[in-house]
Amino acid sequence: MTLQVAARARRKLSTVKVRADITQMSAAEVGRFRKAIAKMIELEDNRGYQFFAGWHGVPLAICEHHNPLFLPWHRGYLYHFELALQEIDDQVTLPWWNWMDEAGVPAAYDAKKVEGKANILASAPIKPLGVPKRPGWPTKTRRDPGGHPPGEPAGAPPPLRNFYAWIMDATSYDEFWGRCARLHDNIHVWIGGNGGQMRDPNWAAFDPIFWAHHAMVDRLWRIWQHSANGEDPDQALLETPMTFAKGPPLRVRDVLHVKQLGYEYAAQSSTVDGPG
Amino acid sequence: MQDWTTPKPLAVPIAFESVKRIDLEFVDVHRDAGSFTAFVFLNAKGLGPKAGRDHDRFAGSFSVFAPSECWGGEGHCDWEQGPVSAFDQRPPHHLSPINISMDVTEAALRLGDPKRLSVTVHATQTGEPKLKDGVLRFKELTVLAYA
Repeated sequence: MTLQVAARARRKLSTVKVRADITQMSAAEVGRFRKAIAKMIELEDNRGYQFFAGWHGVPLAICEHHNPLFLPWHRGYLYHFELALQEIDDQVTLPWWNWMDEAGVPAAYDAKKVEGKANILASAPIKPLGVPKRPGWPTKTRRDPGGHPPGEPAGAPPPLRNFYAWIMDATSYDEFWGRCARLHDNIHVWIGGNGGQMRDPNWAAFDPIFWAHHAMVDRLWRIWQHSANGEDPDQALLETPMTFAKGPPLRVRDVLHVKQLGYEYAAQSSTVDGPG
Repeated sequence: MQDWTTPKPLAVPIAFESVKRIDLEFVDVHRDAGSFTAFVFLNAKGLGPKAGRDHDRFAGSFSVFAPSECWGGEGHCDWEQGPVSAFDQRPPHHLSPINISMDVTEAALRLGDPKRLSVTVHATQTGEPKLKDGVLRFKELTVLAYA
């Protein structure tokens, strides 16, 4: 099995790509995204889906949660994943799951079958790269939204609109990432339900909806950064290098501006040059 | 399901008429033994195990996303390991215990004039190996009232 593949030099981005709400994408756009994910899953090397999923959980588990690196590390993680996805189809971007405004699981991720075939966005294989399988490891992802023993506590179901003002009212970076982490945790636990992979950091990133969930978290950070309350992390954190399993290396400072990473959440109309 | 109640009620530190906001702060909540959700109730004596979000003493909830098992090498999930040198400026290990703050103002004010709050927490862990003493572990719980 090939484990290392030299990265191609990245083409210069001529435009900033827009990450879209999955429910606002056309059937053709969703189909194209689904096809790119399916192709990525077929790659059994360091360009493939299993390789990237393994950064967050088995086998590498180099993710960051509940500390100030939570937001920048996941922004860098999505950036790396999106680059790999765009090596397969350079017109594809990561969609986001708007759990602030929409109930349930988006249809694109929920439908068991699409055109008579299993929907890869609903359930994906789990084959951690480069490590022998251990007894008890799951072989494919599944979800159980809101699932829990009857009458016992379950995570709050989306939509979480009631929390939007609370999160955007944060007046410091530390307050903001802390509030983001709360909503983030809730969605992981809610959709994972009773034994689904999204509720366990070891396996969450193997589920394709993980990326849409984190694109939403990243989008909230982007919106807050541009709000009156938005501020950068402190200087020490800005210079902190983050651990990823593939280049390019990124410090916190390098992921502050999403346009520099080649994407945006707001729809773009047109841009003109300034007076120079 | 884990059912925990404050061993003794917590005093609300300022007069009811002055209260603008009341927070509960759970200090050093562990997150190294699997994900869970907790429901928090105030002054809910005789609370049944199936009380939910619609219970009149329900004050809020929180969920914690946490790994149930460590598949990394030795020390990988050892959150108690501190900085490796004086120049180690990395943030704390991401599995370190966390503080969870919860605004319970509405629920407290519904009680009328609470001078003391008895806090009950129902916590459920599903799908992972269960901890004998329950998944919810924390160092202390504090009531913070703002005038």
